[in-house]
Amino acid sequence: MGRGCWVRLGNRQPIASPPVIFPTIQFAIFFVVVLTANWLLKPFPRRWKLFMLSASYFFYGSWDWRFLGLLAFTTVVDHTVGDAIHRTEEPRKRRRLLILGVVVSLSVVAYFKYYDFFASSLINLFRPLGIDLPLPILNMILPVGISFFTFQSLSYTIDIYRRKLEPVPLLDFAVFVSFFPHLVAGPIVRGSEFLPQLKERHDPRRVQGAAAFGLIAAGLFKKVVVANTLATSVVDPIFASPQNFSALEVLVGIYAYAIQIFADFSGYTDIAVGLALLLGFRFPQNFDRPYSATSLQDFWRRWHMTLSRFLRDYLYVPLGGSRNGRAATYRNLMLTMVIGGLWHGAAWTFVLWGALHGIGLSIERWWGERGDHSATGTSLGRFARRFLTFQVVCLGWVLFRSDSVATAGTVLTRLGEWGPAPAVTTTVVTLIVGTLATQYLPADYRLRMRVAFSQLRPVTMAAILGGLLLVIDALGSEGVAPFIYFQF
Amino acid sequence: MIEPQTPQFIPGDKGMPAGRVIGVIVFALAIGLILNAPDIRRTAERQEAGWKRDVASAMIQPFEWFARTLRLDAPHNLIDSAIGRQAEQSPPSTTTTTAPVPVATPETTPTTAPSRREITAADPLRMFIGGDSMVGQFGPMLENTAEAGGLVEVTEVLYEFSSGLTRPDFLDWPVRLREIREVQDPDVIVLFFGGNDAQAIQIDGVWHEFGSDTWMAEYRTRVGDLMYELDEDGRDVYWMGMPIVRSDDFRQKVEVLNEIYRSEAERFESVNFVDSWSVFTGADGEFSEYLTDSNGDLVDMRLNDGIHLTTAGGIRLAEVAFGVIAENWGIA
Repeated sequence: MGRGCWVRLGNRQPIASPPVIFPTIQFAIFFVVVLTANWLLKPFPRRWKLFMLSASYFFYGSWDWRFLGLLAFTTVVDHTVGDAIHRTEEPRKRRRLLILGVVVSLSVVAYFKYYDFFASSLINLFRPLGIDLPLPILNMILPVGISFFTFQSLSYTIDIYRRKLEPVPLLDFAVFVSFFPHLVAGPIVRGSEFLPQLKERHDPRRVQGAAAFGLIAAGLFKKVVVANTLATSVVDPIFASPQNFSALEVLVGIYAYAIQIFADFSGYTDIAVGLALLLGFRFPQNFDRPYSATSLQDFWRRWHMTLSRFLRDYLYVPLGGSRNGRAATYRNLMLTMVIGGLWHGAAWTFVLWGALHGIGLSIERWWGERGDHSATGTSLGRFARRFLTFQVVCLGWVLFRSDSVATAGTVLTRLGEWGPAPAVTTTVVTLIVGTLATQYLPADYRLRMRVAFSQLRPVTMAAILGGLLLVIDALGSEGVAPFIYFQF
Repeated sequence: MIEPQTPQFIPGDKGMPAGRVIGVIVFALAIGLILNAPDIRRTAERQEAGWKRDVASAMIQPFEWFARTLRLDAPHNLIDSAIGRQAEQSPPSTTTTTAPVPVATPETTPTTAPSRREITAADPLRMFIGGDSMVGQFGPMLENTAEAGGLVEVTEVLYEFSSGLTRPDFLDWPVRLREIREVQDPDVIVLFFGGNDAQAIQIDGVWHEFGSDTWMAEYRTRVGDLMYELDEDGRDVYWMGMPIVRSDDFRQKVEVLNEIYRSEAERFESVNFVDSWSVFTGADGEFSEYLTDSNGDLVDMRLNDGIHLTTAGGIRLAEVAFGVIAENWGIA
């Protein structure tokens, strides 16, 4: 029958016209203009801030100008609340102001991102009982990057409450929240990391060009070649109709998604960090070879690190962390991971994904508190832990990628249906194995490559980058799909 | 947990002047534009007609001329060949975009109904599903729904983003469908267009805006010609109308397209217009992202763009479309 026969002609993606997507010519032109003005205006801080704010708002508005008001609203609210908290010393008033700021910011996210999900879930929950809840469905458009800029903005207010940060002028704060390299998909940069950099004198003679070019080229390759190819050739078809594929195809499809989401998101991060570096700013690291993790705890130290620490510092620790006994620790881990799952999207699949990681982290903690585990420290033990961790992470990705719990169930049940596997091509296997292999490359080997690149003459550097653009364009899709994390 | 570091610095690298950085970027982009010029030109031309497309096409032309003159497009073509992708050999015409094989649309219709044989598991109904990105979720779901009973074989689900009937310079669907009919010989052809067709049409080098008299006449002719050709060929055609969309502006355009599809389909016995619009309206007749599925649950049916379908939306529409097909072919 027609199993797996559906194709996209030319392996193409929808054309992304707005500059909100990095790997486009429109964005390249936008960035060259901004980069030039950036360094020309650096000696004039106020003009530079006004310019960068305008450029960032243009960048965001090119997707949908109507949501510029939302960005401005979040900025003004959190800045005003931060100022008010700083002005008072009375603990109760400070706490009330903090709660106000958090509630207002999260209400905006809840309204746009979660209202329809919870309303429809409640309606579906009560319907079998014969109760028709009169909740309206609002058909809201999800603003790109709302979870990211809300978290960044909130971190400022909370850090002022914790007296870890001094308030800054509204213009500085607005530049921080809207700074386009991190605006729509992170990394989640804290005010305490970014705002001091606004006061630094950036030397236009010492721009970290080589490092930035390496990051941007790597990010483009990961996104355009690895992520897009795996998505169109195997992941999308298998997760759309898992019942049409054999066990081996589904298994490879799951591994392919693990690689796709890593290449997609870490590729975006690489580009974002590289762009910021060219503009004179440093961003925190967001990925550190996550599929070489030896435990789930290790995985979360390596995957989306800026979200991990946000959840740790602003959710897990305030909940009590591991300070109140074993049961409370497990509860806090579960709550943190489930809420972290829900942060990714308004769907039960994300809730279950978070719960899976919460359970896994709790089991690891319980196991770690029991006796001697020296056997797991051997080479074989480390291999087994890495293998097991990767399988659990991939199990989670099945939930993460599936559009419903039922689809996830079908994907998993297909793992018992053996048969021919024409969807498992050499290209797919090469991309999966090749990307996994990079997770185990020695750090000094990668460093040597970067050092060698930085020592090249500018013309040679440009020629290599131009050649890489050829390879990326020829091997990748013609259009560029939006990054997966844009929807979060 | 480990604190995220800022690992981007290279030890010993003192950096370079900003002007040199910009120079490297511009030089690298220029090399990239030259080496990829034909490919970028094709991408530019896929955009909706308008000033953005014109500017992009004009900007890439000198790079493409330079690349072709010095044969600097050869490396790209070499890689294309190596990975089995068809490389473009010559620049396409940008002046004539009418269908290459004109088919006279008859004035007198309807035609005779297609002969519908008995469908059995041994001799299943052969079905082709094609169109633009709207097929992305709908096509696989229709395939699943149709093949579930064992009486249908879907020969292919084929969709191309940014394609349609306004831009044969990008993808000529009538020509492609001729090839498909020859190779796959489907009994049933399901087509879904409209997501990209609310844009200007080029005729003899002149662009005509969407909705103008010339546009309306030309688009109707293209739809009618394709339906006529498929009808003449004895295929049973199911032409999917566009569903209601969120944007008011685009909704008005979709109504125009649907009216053309519906009225043209009425002229051919073998062409069935399947109304998607009402499948995705709420109780108030307006756009609704959440609708009740077959289990009675409220489910998100539309993607965030308010145009494309989610998997649940694809299933909902697939059940409607297959219901019509199954009834016509007497499939239980």
